[in-house]
Amino acid sequence: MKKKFLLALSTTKYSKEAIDYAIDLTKQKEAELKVVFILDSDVPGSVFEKLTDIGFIGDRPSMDLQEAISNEYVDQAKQVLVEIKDQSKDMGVECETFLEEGDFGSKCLESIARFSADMIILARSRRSFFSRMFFGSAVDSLLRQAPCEIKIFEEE
Amino acid sequence: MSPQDFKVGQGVTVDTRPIPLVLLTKSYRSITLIAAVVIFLLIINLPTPEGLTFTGQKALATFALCLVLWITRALPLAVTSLLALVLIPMLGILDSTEAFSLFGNQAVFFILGAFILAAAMMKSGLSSHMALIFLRRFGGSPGRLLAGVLLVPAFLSFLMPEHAVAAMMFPIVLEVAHGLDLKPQKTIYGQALFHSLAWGAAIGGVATYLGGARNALAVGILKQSTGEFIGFFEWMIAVLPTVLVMLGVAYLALRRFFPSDVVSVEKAVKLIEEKNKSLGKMNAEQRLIGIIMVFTVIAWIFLGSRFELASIAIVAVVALFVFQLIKWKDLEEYVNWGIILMYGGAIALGFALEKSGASSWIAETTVTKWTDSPFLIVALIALVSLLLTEGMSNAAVVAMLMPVGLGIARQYGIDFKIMVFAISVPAGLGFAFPIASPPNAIAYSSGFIKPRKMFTIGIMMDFVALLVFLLMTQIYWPLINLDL
Amino acid sequence: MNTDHNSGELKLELITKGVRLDRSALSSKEIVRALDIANQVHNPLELDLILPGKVLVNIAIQECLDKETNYRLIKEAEDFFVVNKDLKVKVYLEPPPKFYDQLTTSGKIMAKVGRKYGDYLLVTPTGACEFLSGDMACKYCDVDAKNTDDKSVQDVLETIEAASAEGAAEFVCINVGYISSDDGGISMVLPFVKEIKKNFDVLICVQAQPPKTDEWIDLTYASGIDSLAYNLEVYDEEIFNKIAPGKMSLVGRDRYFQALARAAKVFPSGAIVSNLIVGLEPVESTFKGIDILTAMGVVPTLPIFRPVPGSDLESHIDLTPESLSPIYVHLQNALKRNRLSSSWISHFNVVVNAIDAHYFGGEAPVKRQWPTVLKSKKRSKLALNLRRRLRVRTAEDNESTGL
Repeated sequence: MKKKFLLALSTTKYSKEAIDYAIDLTKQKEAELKVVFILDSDVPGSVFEKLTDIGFIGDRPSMDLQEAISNEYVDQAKQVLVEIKDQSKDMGVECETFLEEGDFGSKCLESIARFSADMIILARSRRSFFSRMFFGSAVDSLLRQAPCEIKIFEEE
Repeated sequence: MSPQDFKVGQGVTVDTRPIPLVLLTKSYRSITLIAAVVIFLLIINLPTPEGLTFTGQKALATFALCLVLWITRALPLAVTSLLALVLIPMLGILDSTEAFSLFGNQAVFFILGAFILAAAMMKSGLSSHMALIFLRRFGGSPGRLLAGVLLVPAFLSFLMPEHAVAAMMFPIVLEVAHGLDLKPQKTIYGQALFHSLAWGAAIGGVATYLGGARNALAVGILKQSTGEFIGFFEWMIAVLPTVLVMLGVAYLALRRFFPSDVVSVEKAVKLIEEKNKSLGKMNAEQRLIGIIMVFTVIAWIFLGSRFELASIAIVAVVALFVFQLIKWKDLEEYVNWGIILMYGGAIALGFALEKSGASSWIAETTVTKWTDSPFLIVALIALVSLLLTEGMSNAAVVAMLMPVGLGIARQYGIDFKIMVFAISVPAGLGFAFPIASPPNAIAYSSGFIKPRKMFTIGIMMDFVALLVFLLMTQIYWPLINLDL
Repeated sequence: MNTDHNSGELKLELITKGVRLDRSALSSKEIVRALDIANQVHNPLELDLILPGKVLVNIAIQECLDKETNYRLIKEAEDFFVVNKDLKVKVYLEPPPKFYDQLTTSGKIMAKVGRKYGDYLLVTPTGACEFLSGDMACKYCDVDAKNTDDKSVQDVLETIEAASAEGAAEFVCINVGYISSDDGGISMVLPFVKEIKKNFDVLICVQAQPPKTDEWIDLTYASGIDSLAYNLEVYDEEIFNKIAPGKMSLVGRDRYFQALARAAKVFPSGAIVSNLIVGLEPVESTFKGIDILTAMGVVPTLPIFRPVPGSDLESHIDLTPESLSPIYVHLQNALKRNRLSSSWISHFNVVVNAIDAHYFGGEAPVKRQWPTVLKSKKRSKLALNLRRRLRVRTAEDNESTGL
């Protein structure tokens, strides 16, 4: 039975190195590659908290803007997935892509389960030691919990 | 509500963050409310210091209470202002007729009119039409396009609130970036474009009363407290050179720190052309709104001293309705009415502090002890305003610093107008953090900007802005009779 | 005769092999009453035995899996014993609760409204489930639809009251089958939850299907439900599709994982459970399922497959206590690694769980267990309610206080 590798990326966690590694490894091991792009549900929210600044005019322009930003995130994610798919195709690698929305850590675990993945490859955003200590890190908790092999790349 | 009464469609969600964070969020409001009340009671019950009247002390306590509430947002900004408005007469700082009349300050009505005019420009599509018409003149090379994305929002911010300009231009710049196949955070030119949008809108927002309501708020407090006034044109004359120099600096910084990694912008130019074509010619409605806008600005410049600025703004608004260019329903969607209440309260509070002698007392007891150089005082005030605006709402900075600044100006014999500029110009020039200004937040949300780069270059821009402003006070202002 | 035994192993033996009733036991008043109640509610006879070491086991007597079973339940003087040719172990037979043969005001026998399993009172408000027959039928299920009629909220309340009077309902577990709706059956449960919470100080566990959207999961927690089960049944994708065609086509295996992941974030640690039926898939696959579910924060419950005679899967069973015991050790280790407590299910006696693992060479059971965490301490319930109050937000709360 073919092995299954999972590449997990998100709005804030992207690494070209991780993508190249995943595709190369899949080719080398004659495995299957599943790519999940997770739209970080917190990101637009936190941006919008900042936008509810005094002076911001009515609901309509803010809603239009929110929509434009959300669409942009989806477009950016789709673009990344298309590129990965093209790159895989060029390398002759079997690759399936998925766009998800939610919490990075739990979406990764859920995807490992869905695809019965043997390995997960992911990028970690560069953050300070203090930030990780105070706010925790989805990747750190994944490291503790992942029920399969895990390979991490620092975000460029 | 008991837990079992929740129903789907009520937007019930479960906060899954770590419990300490949830607790902090939940208790934040109560803690800040209690802290605000404690500070209020503490100040009011302290023995009245020498040089301060008890009325002044009460005004100071009210000011502190509102400041905590404005900064922490434990109550909606407008509600805090309403609280100020009732506390002022209740505590006997001003009589109630006087306090409530401050809400009808002309600055409030000017802001109301300006917001309605901006809403009409946005709703009709005039603003995006203008943006595209101007932008198509800047093609040809990456440098020129970048200049366009800097100057067009800057110019539009002369006429509309800066955040409205940034919000309106955001999709256009996004399309330009897509047209050029720019990747978020990866391409330097993409970063340059969004920095350009943010900086252009922010710098332009300083130039007139229309770019940022904080400018009108500062002048409103000035007029109410001292009787002095800065006309529309007078403001522009004083601030425009700073704006132009800053736009030049911004352009050079963009070119220097974001060296273009794009050879041709032909695709973007084509895209702008296509968009322009698809919008077609300006329709009658847009033209009429444009004409009203032009006449209004002319009236503000030339008739501002004869008629009140607010009156001109309101006449323009009436004209919009006479020609059926906007419906009241649209205004409800485009204008944030609460803001207007916030400004009214801030003006009333500023006046109460000034009249009760509290602002002079703060000036005497704080800054006086450090230095006696007016230039250093202005520099210090500008620096404080700039630093505060990086983390606070621009208008809250103005509401906070104006009463104190006017007290200091009186103390040192500094022209009140200079103090208004020293506070409100830097309050619009925060570049380092996404929360520094709405244009920064909007540009940041594109995903194209790297936060670290925004910070490092932003800090540098902050200090250049301060430097340019201070140079203007020394070199240019004496030429227009603003002597420091 | 040897009286040395291992309660964990014996539990597995009894579950997999069954037990025959000796004449001496058959004539005892406890068994006579149990049989009488089983006949009245048209259910197979199940007995709750407590093995030494307080190991609970629920044994189906009529579903004798191995006709050659060596185990017999005998009665000597006032005591019951499980015996075979080498072993004689004194066990305690938990008599059917007193409330079982009481009637509700609508005339329903209470044993049919709520059944006691350990400290759980299992209530199935409706027998309706679209996966009971036809192409969509779950192959492992033995629920008799004809025998499960609808109960009113009042029936359930009266039964809980009667059960509580004899301390038999710390936990009320409400079970719903598949009803085609977006909510996974939660809307149907909510009126019961509302009234139960209003009238009794009990914890509520719901066994339902994953809803179509996560909003329902948040609402499930907000409504006062304390523990939730979305039963995956098997981890292997192919076997899942084969044995649960209804779940596969109308819910989807992916949705189970999505919903379990969300629920595990929403509910307290250890409160989300999912069945992985041991014996329906290769052991390695069960291991993998345990690993992934525990990593997601879900506590797997591992019932042992008891095939219904004549069903499609009757010949599937190939389980011995020797092959089963490593699974429970694995479960215990996985729970420990992921800092999950199995307190919520520890006294649900139809499953073998991690608490029993130390009988198979696993480490001593985790300390945080039912008696200390939940049963004996009211403040645990207070803590659970406080957690809910802190975490649940409505759209109104979410609206910024600023402008």
